[in-house]
Amino acid sequence: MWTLVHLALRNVLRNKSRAAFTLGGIAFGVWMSMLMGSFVIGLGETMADDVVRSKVGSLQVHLRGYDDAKANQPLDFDMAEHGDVERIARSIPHVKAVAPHLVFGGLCNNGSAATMIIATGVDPERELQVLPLANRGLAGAPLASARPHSGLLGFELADAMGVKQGASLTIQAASRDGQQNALDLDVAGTVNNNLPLDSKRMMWVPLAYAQELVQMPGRVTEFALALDDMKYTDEVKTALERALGPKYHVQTWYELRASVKEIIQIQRMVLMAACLVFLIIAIVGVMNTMLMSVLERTREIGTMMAVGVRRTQVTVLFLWEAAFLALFGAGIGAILGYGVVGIVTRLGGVPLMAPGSAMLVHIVPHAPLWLAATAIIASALGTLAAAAYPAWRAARLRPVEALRAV
Amino acid sequence: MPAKVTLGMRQREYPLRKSVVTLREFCRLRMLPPPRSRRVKVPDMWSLLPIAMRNVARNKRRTAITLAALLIGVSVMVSMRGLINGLQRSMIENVALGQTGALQIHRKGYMKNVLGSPLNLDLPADDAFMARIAKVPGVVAVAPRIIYGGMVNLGDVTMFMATIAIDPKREFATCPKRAEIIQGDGGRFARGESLDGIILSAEMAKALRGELSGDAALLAPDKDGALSAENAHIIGTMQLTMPGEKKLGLAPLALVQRMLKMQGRATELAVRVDDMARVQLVAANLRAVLGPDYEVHVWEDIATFFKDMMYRQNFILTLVATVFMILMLLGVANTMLMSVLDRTREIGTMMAVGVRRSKILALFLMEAATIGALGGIFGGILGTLITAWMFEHTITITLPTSTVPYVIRPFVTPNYLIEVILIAGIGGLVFAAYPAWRASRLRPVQALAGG
Repeated sequence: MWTLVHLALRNVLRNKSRAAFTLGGIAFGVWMSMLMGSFVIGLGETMADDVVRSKVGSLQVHLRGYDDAKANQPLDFDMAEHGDVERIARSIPHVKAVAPHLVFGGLCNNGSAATMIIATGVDPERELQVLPLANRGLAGAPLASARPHSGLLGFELADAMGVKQGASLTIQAASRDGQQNALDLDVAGTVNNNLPLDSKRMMWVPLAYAQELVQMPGRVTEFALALDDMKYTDEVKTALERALGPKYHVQTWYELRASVKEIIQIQRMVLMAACLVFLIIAIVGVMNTMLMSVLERTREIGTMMAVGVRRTQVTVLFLWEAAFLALFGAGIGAILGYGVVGIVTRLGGVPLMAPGSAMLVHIVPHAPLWLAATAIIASALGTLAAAAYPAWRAARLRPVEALRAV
Repeated sequence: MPAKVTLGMRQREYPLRKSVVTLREFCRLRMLPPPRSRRVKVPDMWSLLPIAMRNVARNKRRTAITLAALLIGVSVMVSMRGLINGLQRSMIENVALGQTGALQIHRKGYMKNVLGSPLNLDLPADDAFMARIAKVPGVVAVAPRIIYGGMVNLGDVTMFMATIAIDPKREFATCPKRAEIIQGDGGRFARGESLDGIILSAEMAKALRGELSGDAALLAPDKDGALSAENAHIIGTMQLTMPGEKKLGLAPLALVQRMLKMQGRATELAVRVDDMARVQLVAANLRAVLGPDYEVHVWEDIATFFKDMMYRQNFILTLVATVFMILMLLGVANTMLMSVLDRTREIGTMMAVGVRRSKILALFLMEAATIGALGGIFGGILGTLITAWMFEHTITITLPTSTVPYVIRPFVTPNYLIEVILIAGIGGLVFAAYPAWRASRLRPVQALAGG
C-alpha cells in the first residue's frame, strides 16, 4: 500500500513540467472559484448585514393587515408602545433588543414647495440597540431625545426640498380621524443609505414628535427586533408567532426585503454554475495528463505486471497519481485563495458602488471553511472520476504485449 | 561531440550551436566533395501549416480530449454572452419602449430638479413644435407628458400620487410596451376614448384595498401654487417595471393640462427612434435643432439603474470568460508539452535533415494555434446552436427588483464569435510558447536516440 503511494508520488514528480501544468490548471480553477465564491459570499453578507443592522432589524412585528395598507395611511393598525407585545418579545430567548416605530405618510413643506414623504418615528436611544448601524451614511447630527423637534431626511429628499442641516420645515400629516395637523421640524442631518427610494421619500423623526403630530400618544405601528445572532431568526419567528397569537404578523428581514434575498440567491446560483464549468475544464486537463501517462508508460506497466504487480494495484497506482495532482493543485489554489482574501480583508475590502446609489460600500470577501473544503473535495472527486478510465485502461493491458510496446 | 550521454534534455552545459553540424561542414570534415545544392530542401513557413494540421489529426484521442475542454468552455462562454445580450436587449426595450422613450427632451435645468417634478420648467407641446422634432432624421414618434406630484381622492381616502399625464395615442406610438403592462380597460385609455379615465399602479390599488370602481378626483397645485381639482374615474391598473416611485398613476394629458392651467404645454417630450444603435446620433441632431434652451437625454442617462446593471453584468461576464479561457488554454499547453515529449525522436529526425530550430518552434506554435482555433470554431458553433435554441424557445425570468417578467431572446453577434475564435487561436499560441521552445532546444543526437 505505502509502496504504491510512494511510487505514485515519484511518478508525479518524474515529469516536473507536465505536473506543473496540470497542477497549475487545478490550482488556478480552485483559486478562481475561491476568489469569486468569497467575494459573492461577502457581498451577500454585506447586503444582509446592511438590512439587518441598519434598516430593518432581524424581525418586525405588526398587526395583521398592516402590510396591505402600508402604502396608504397605516395608522389604523396600532399597538401600545409599552404593552404586551414588547413584554412578550423580550421574554423570547435570543431577542436582544426591541424598538418601537410609528410610520406615517405626510407632506413636507419648505415654505414654497411641498412633497410627499414617509416618516418613521423612532425612539432615538432604543433604535440604536436594534439597528446599531442606523446612522451609517448620516451627514449631520443623529436623532436625540434632547432635540425633540429635529429629524433626518433622505439626502435626495433634502436636495429636492433645497434644505441643508439646520433648516426648518413644516411636516403635515393626517391623524386617524382625518384631521390635518402640522408641526415644525429642524433638519438635524441627511441620510444616504444606499436605497434610492428611501433617499427620495423617507425621513426619520423622534417617536414623541410623531405621536404628537398624528395625535397618537403612547401608540406605535411597528416593533423592530434585534437578535444576539442572526442564525436564530427563523427559530425566534416561530416562538414569537406562537406567543403573540394570530392577531400579530411577524416577518423576518428577508420576508420584508424579499428582493435582497432574491439577489443573494441569484448571485450564488451564477457562482455555482461558473465554478462547475471551471471544475469541468480543470478536470478534463487532468484526464488528458493521465491518459498520456498511461499511453507512454505502457512498457513500464508491462514490466510491473511481469514482476507480479496485481491489476488492482496498477489501477490504484494511477488513481493515487491523480489524487496527488488534485490535492496538491487544490491545496495550492486554496492557499492562494486564502492569501488574496486575507490581503483584501486587511486592506478593508473592495470598494463597490451599490446599484442605483452614489454611496460606496466596501465588500469584505469572506471564505468560510466549507467553501475551500467544497472546492478541494469536488476537484479531488472529479479528478479521481476523470482518472478512472485511464487507470482502468492501464490495468487491462496484457503484460506480454505491453512489454513489447514502443 | 560530447562524449557524455545522459538521458533527458538537461545538457545545458554544452553550447547548443555546436551540436548542429551543417551538411557543408560535415562534408568538409570528412573530406567529401561538397554537396551539390547549398542547402537541403527544407519546408518554408507556410508549408509547415499542413504538417501542423496533420500532426493535430495524428493523435486523435489526445486532440479530442483537448478539443472537448475547449468546446465546453467556448460554448458556455458564447451561450452566456448570448443570454446576457438577450437580457440586455430586453431591458433596453422595456425601458426605452415602455417607460422613458429612447430620448427625452426637457427645458434646460429640468433634470437637475427632476425630483421636484417642477411645472414651471415646461415646454410647448403644440403640433407645430412636435412636427419640428418629428422632422429630425431618425425620429419615429414624439409624445408629450406632464409629470407632477399630486393627490388622488377616492371616497374618504386621499393619497399622494406621482402622476404621468400622457396623450394616449402619441404615447403608445412612442412607448408601445407601456400598453402591455396595463390591466383592465386599458384599451379605451389607449384609444383616447376615455377622457377622464386614470390608471393606477398595482401598489396604489393594493393600498386603496380594491376600491377601484367609481369616481375619483385628482388634486394638485397648479403652476402658480393654487390647488385645483378635476373629476376622474379609475379604469385600470398597471404593473411597475422599473424600481422607483411605487405610488404612480397615468392620466390623460388634456385633463391634466386643464387642471394645471397648462394648455398646450408639457414638461417632457419622449422620442422614439428608428434604430436604437443610432440613438446618440439622433440626440445630437435634436440638440442642434432645438438649441440651448432645451436639454436632450438618452434613455440610459435617465434610467441610470439599468445602465449600471448592464455595466456590472458585462464586467462579471468578462471576468468569468477570462478564467474559462485561461483554464482551457492551460489544457492546450499541457497537450503540447506531452506532444513534445512523445515526439522527441521525430524532432531529432527533423533536425537531422536540416530543419531549423525556428521552424520546429513555429511548427509547434502552429499546432497549438490550430487546436485553439478549432476549439474556438467548434465551441462557437455549439454555442451559437445553444443560443439559437434558446432564441426559439425564449427564456422568461423575473428580475428581483421588478414585478414584470422579462422574455429573453438570446443572440450572439458574428463579431463576438470571430473575437472568441481569434482569442482561442492566439491564446493557444501564447500558452504553447514554453513547450514549443523546449522542442526547439532539443539536441538532435540525443533526441534521435529517443531523449
